[in-house]
Amino acid sequence: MMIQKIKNIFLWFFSRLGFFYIVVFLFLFFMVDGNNLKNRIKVGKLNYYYPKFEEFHEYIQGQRPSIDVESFRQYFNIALEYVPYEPGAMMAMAHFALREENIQQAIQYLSKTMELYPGLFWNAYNLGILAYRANAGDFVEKALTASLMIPPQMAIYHMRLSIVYRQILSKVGETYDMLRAISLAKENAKILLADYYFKQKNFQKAFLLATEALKDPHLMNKSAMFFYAYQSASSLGQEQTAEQLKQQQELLKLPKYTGITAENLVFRFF
Amino acid sequence: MKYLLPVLNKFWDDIQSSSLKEFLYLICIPFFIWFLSFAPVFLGQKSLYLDANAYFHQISYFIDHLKQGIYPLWFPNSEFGMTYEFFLRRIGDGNPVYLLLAFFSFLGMSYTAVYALFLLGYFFLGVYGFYLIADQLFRDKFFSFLAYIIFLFSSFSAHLFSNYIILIFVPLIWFFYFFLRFIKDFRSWQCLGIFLSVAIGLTTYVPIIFALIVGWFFVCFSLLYADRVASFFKALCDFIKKNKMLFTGCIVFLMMALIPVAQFYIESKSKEIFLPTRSSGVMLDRSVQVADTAVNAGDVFAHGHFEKLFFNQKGMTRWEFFISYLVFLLFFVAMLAPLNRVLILLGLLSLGIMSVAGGHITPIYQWLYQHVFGVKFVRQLFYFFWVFVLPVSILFLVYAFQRLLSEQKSILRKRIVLGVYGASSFIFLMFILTRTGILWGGVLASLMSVIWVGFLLFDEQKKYRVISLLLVLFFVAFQGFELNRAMLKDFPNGSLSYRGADYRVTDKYFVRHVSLEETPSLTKIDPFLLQLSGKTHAHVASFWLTALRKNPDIQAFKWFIQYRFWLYDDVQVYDNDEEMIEKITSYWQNKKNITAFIPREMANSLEKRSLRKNVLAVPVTIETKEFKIEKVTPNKVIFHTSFLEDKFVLMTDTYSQGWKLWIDGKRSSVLRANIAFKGFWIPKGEHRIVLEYASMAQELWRFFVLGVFALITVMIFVFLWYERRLVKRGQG
Repeated sequence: MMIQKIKNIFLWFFSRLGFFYIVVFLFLFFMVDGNNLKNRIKVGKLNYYYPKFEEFHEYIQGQRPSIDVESFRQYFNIALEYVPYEPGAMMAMAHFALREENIQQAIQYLSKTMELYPGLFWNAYNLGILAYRANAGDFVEKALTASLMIPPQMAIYHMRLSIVYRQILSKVGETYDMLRAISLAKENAKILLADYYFKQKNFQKAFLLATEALKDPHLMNKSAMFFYAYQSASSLGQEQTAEQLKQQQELLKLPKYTGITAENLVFRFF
Repeated sequence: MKYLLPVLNKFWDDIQSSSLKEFLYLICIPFFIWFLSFAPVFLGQKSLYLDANAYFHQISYFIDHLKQGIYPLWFPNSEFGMTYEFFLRRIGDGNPVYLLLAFFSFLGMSYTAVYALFLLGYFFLGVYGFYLIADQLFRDKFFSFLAYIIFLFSSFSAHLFSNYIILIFVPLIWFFYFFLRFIKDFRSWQCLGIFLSVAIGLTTYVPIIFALIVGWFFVCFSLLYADRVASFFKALCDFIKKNKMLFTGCIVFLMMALIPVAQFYIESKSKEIFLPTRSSGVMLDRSVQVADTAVNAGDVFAHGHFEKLFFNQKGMTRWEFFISYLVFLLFFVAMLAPLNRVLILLGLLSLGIMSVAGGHITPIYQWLYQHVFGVKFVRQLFYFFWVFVLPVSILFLVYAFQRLLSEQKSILRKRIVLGVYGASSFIFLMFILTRTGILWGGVLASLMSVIWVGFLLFDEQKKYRVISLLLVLFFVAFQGFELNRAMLKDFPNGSLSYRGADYRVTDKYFVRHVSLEETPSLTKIDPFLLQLSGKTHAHVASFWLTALRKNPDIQAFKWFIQYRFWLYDDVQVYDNDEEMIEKITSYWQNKKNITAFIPREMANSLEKRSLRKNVLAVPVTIETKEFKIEKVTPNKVIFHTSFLEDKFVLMTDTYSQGWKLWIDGKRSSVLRANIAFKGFWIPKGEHRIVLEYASMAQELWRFFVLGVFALITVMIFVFLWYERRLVKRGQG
């Protein structure tokens, strides 16, 4: 009787969907590649349970003067171990290197990321800024031009492909307009690029870049672009054009442009 | 309640007995609620984005030309010209729905409105197909409705506005519907439906997605229903014997439909189509092939689909997965359901395809990549999840739940099931309450579903069916509506507009009033060329153009491509593309454009002419008297020349072997010039030049094939109508 009952329970168990679940679970357990999914899930979990991400967010925004850098570095190292060259982690490492004033190391991180993830706008933008700060000529033009070529929607799409980046973005808040931020950063990239060309005495390129930028009705910093357009035109001997630009500038009553400042050279995540 | 119940029961009986009422109340009303949740997109307040944006333009371009009587096979304004076959393969040009869209456009509807209507109608077709499949499986309208609303209010629908999986989903779902009907009834319209959906499925996007899913279905089906396979084949043979003409016609139709796919496959070996993001920047065996390393970016875990399922739902963004929380509760309680072959089949189907969607996480994908033809052409593996795993999993769970309910006869067992469900709900509720950012809809679904299951379990006479139906519609739709609205915040504002007239190539953009002495004025450049010239890479372009674009001097490139035609006196042959790119860039930077360059492999086709050295090339502008455009369509350019000397004409439109040249009716060669463009000699004197990518015969053939697709669709309706008429007369 007892055996019959046990037999019935077994039969009932084998005839249930729960049994199928167990078979599927075992299949997944043995089939799933630990070095791939597990690592990605681990980074995701690491992100999710990482308690101090708020601090990191404030730190990179400049709202917090210091954080436990070592603990974060450890976190990003683990992320890089799980997913080699994880772009969000690479950018964070570059940020730490920059804070320690090791600008060359930061450029290395960013240039490697740009090679692997050319669609990541903020990476290319930051590389351009750091290259400008370090006077690394080739990188300035290459990185800033590349950042200008990335369509804003595509830039956000590429940011969201990174597991770490997604976590950083989740702290941004609903009201933050990422498209607007990219648009402003692009304008800044143009100013830096025009300045770079101007300093390189490549007046033709500086002139074209500045005059093209001036055609944008949404341009915020018109003074800077008028400055480079006017100065380049004068240097090219196009006196008439220069005079026209000067008149236009005066007509608009724009404030005087004082050159590149620290504000133009801020490393940004979003 | 005493008075209301009979009314509700009568209402339910009406739904069961009338197809029209079933369609209106069970299908259309939930669909209308769904429509309201995404109304801002359809009303133009929010816009499509990412791939959906590109597909809007490509489909609009296609229907724009269809209504003009042109079958576009070249796309002059995409990346300096490229074969449109690439885009036709993506949108599935045989789909008869495009004829309908062209008709609406012909009636005067805007392209934006036509496309919105297409998305709405095509999605409806897909979800209705899903309902019909559920109805075939469950044989119970209540459970079919349940599966339908769960699917309708999942985040699948959000993909309408960000990518194009709907184009793969609809033929797939209708294939399964026709197949399930066919193995039972063996009717002509079902056979036609199978062939039509297979033809559309295999000619849209990457055919292997459709083929792999259908193939896996047949493997599982044959294994689990081995005892019925022989009788099925016998019945199939009988059907073929009886309908020889029809079956042969269907086979011929399928082969005809697949010809462009085969041609595209062959052409994909050339360097004329190159997709850097798929191939990781390396030229692989086939242009559409995906590099092993690029797959990780497309598998189901790459885009963080599942991150907001139980977390921060207010920040729900594109492509993120959500589904009614009822599904998770059904998953728990379904473990008590009795197993049968259908459940095992659905489970295996879902699991097998999910293994592929996971990419490298299981050895299955790696094995398929190496051994199964076509798998290496799929990059966006997560499509497998959305178009198949998700709907099949919903069917699986609802079917299991139906079986569980139907098995419970005694009060005790019913109480046990309700207890298990209640306990699962309580644990689940506790879990979601500990998460941050969960919207109310999820909490409501978890709570109300317990009452709903109670109704279902203890309503033996099905008196409260309508109440159960309304209850489940309320909490499933409420959660879906809330999440859809949260997701809408991530959509860009405004609406898209198709620049039809601009996309059409006119001589306005071929000859512009610009003189060489001027500094290139950006305002005078063809807006499309300007837009393209600023890009350093493209999603798809020729291999040579991609190489040329790596050149960082955009200004020099812009200067060159601002004209559609350059007239050269000198042509030189070169050996190495990469070295030549550097030289050419330097020439353009210095405005020293005196020679056109032809690769060595084309030197045999280069006719020798008397050359004038060191003469600057001249662009064709509106002032060029010896060059007049007669006609421009996507497939053809006709112009007249009257040069005093022989000229080598370079057209800043991508080189392709498909272009043919006739000078006064006599065939001549089109060469690859200046790395990526078309070039050809034109002798002095007056000539009529015809550059043709697709002949009239080719265009007519493509129209004919499209017509056959439409004819098959009409035949399905006619056969179905005829059959129903016979049934009504009692002869069926």
